[in-house]
Amino acid sequence: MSLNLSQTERTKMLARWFDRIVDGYPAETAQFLRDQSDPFANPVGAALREELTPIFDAILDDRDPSEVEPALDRIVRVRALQEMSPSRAVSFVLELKEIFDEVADGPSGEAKRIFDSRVDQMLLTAFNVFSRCREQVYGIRVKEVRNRSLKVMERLNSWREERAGGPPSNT
Amino acid sequence: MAEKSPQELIQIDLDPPRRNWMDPSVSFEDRRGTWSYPGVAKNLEYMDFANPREWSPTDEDWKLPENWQQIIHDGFKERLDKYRSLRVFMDTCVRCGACADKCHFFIGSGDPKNMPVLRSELLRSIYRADFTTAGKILGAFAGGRKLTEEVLKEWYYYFFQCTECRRCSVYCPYGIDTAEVTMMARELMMLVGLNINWVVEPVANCQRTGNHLGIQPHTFKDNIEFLCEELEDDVGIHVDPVINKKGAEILFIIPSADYFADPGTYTFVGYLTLFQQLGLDYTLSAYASEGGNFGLFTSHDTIKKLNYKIYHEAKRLGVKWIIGGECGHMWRVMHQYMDTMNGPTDFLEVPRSPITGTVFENARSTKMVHICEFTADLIRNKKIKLDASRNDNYRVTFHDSCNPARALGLFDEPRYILKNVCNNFFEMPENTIREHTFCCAGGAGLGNDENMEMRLRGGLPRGNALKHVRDKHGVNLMSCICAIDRATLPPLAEYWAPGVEISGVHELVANALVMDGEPERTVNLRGEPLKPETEGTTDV
Repeated sequence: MSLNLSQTERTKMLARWFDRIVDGYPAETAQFLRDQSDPFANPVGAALREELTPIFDAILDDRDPSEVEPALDRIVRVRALQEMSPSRAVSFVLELKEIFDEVADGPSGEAKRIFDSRVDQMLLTAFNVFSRCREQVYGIRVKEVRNRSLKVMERLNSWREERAGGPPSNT
Repeated sequence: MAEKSPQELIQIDLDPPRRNWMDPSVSFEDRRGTWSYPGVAKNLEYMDFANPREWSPTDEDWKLPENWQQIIHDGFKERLDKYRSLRVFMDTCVRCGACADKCHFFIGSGDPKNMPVLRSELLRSIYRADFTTAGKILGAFAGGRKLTEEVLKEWYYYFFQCTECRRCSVYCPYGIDTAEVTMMARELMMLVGLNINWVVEPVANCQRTGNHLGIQPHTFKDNIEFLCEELEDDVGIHVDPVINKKGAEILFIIPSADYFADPGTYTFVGYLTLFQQLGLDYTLSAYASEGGNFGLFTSHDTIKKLNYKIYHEAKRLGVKWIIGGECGHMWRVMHQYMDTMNGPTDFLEVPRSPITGTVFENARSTKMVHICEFTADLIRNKKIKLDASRNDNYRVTFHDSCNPARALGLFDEPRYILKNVCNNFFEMPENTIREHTFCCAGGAGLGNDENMEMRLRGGLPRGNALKHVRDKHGVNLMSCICAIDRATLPPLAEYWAPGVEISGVHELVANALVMDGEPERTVNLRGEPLKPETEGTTDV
C-alpha cells in the first residue's frame, strides 16, 4: 500500500528530516553541513542530501528496505565512525515517525500504523548496515596489526631457512 | 490503558551537548580509537626528552612535573622570542573562518575543535592570557584561558589529531601556517613529557640506527637483497643494489617503509630497476637509511639532529649530489628546513643528470632532487623506453601527498610520469587534488592502529573523492609519492572505496620500463599477470 502524501507534504518532510539530522551536530558543524553544497568539500552533507530521498521513497512505496541499502550505507558508514552511540547513529531513521505526525495532514490511525511499521523495518536494516561497518573497522585494525608482524615473520623465517641451507627436513 | 508509543519507549536525546569551546574537558576513556598511545619511557630516555615515565591518557594523574605550568610558560616565551612567525600566527588570526571547514578531521568527525581555527585557538587562548595586555587584564572576555591540567589534556587530544598537512593554510588570507601552530604546541608538550609513541619510537630508532624501524646495517643489506631476489624470481628482473659505495656520483635517500613494508617494497624495487637500466652510479646508505624525519613532529632541534645524517653521509661517501625517493614529509624538511639547519653544503655539486645533462637549478642550494623530477626529465628527453600497456590492468588516479604537494609544489612531474607509463589515468575532482589535496589522515605520527577510528574519520574526504572516480571511471589503483600514504591509504580505501589498491609512482614506471635484453615480461612487480586472462574481451 502506497501512502498518499501530497508533493508538498513529501518535500516538507524531507526538508525537516534533513534539518533534524543536521541539527544533531554541534551548531558550527550544522551550519557547515547545511551551507556547503560542494559534494567533495562536504561529503556528509552531500550524502544526506542525495540519499534521504531514496530511503524516504522506499518507505512511502512499501519497497523492501534492502533495495536502498546502498543509500543507507552512505549515511550510516559515516555515523558508525563519528562520536555517537550506536543507538544515536541509526536513530535518524526514527525521526521520520515524529515528522510524519507533524507534517501529514491528519493521517488516519491505519496510515500512521503502516508508516511507523515501515520505518521500523528501515531502522532494522540501518542497524544491519551499522554492524557491518563496525565489523569492518575492527577487521581493518586487526589486519593492519597482523600484516605488520606477519611480513616481518615471513622474511625472518625465509632468512633463517636460507642460512640453515634450506627448510628443516624433520618431517 | 496508557500504552507507550515506540517514540516514548525509545527516548534518545538527539540534541548535541551545547558546549562552549572554552570548556576543555575530554574523556579519553570514552573516545578510544581517536588518540595515540603515549611515548614509552625508554624512547624518551634514549633521546634525553623530558619526563620519561609510564602513563596513559586514561589515567587521572598524568605524572607531570610539579612546575609544569612554569615550564610551558617559559617554553612558550622562549619560542615567541625565537620564532617571529609564531608571534605573528598568534596575533593575526581574525577568526574569519576561511580555514574552518578545510580540515579533513573536521569534515569527517563533525567535531568543531577539529576546525583549524578552533584547534589553534586552544593555544592562542593561553597566549592571550599569558602574553597580551588585554588578556592579562580581561581574561576570558579577551579570549584568554588559564593553562590548567584540563587544557593541557585537551591540547594532547587535539594537537595529536592534526596531521600537519597544511591544507587549511592554503585558504588562510593571512598565510597562517596552522601546521606550525601544531608543531609549537607539540614542542611545548614535549617539555613536560607529553608525546606519542608512534612519534618518539621512530625518533629514537632513527637516532640509533638511522631509520624509523631500528634496522641495523646488516639487516638493511639483507632485506634489500631479499627484495631483489624476490624481484628476480617473481618478475625476472635482475638488479644489483649498491650500498655504501664510496665515490658514487649520487646518494639515494629513501623512506625506510619502502624497503620493509608492502606496497612500498614494489616502489623500492621500481627505483632500483630504473637505476639498473640506466647504469646509474648511485649508492644507498645503510646509515642514512631513512628519508622520513619524525623530528618534524617532535621539535625543531630533533628535526635538525635527524636530518644531519643525510649531508653527513653524502660527505663520508664522497658523492656529488643527492636523489630523494618517494617520501612525503622528507620533502617538507628538505625544502623548508634542511638548507638553513644543516646546509648549505660546500662539498656537493649542483645536481646534473648524467643521462640527460639537465642541470636541476631548483636544487642549486640543497643539492637534492626528487626522483620524480629526475624520471620526468628522462622521459621528456626520451632516454627510457616505456610500454604503458603493461599497466593496462590498472585504471589509475593520483593522490597528491600533502608535503610534496603543499611544501614542495611537486604537482606536474608525477602526473607527467603516470601519463607516460599508464594508458588509463583519471584525476579526482579539482578541489581534492594538487594544493587542495586531502590528507591520508595518518601523517605526523598518527598512522598507528590504536588511532584507527580517527584515521578513518579523517580519511572520509579523500575516500569520497576516490570513490567518485572508482564509480565514474572504474579506477582501481591510487598512486602516490609518500611512504606514509602507502601505509595508511590501504585501510582508508578499504573502508571508503573498496576495490582500489595503492601504489607508488615508480612501481608503475618499472612495470612499463623496457629493459635491455630483458626476457618477456609476463607479470607486473606484484607478480600479477600483465593482461587479463580472459580472452576475447576488449578494454573499455
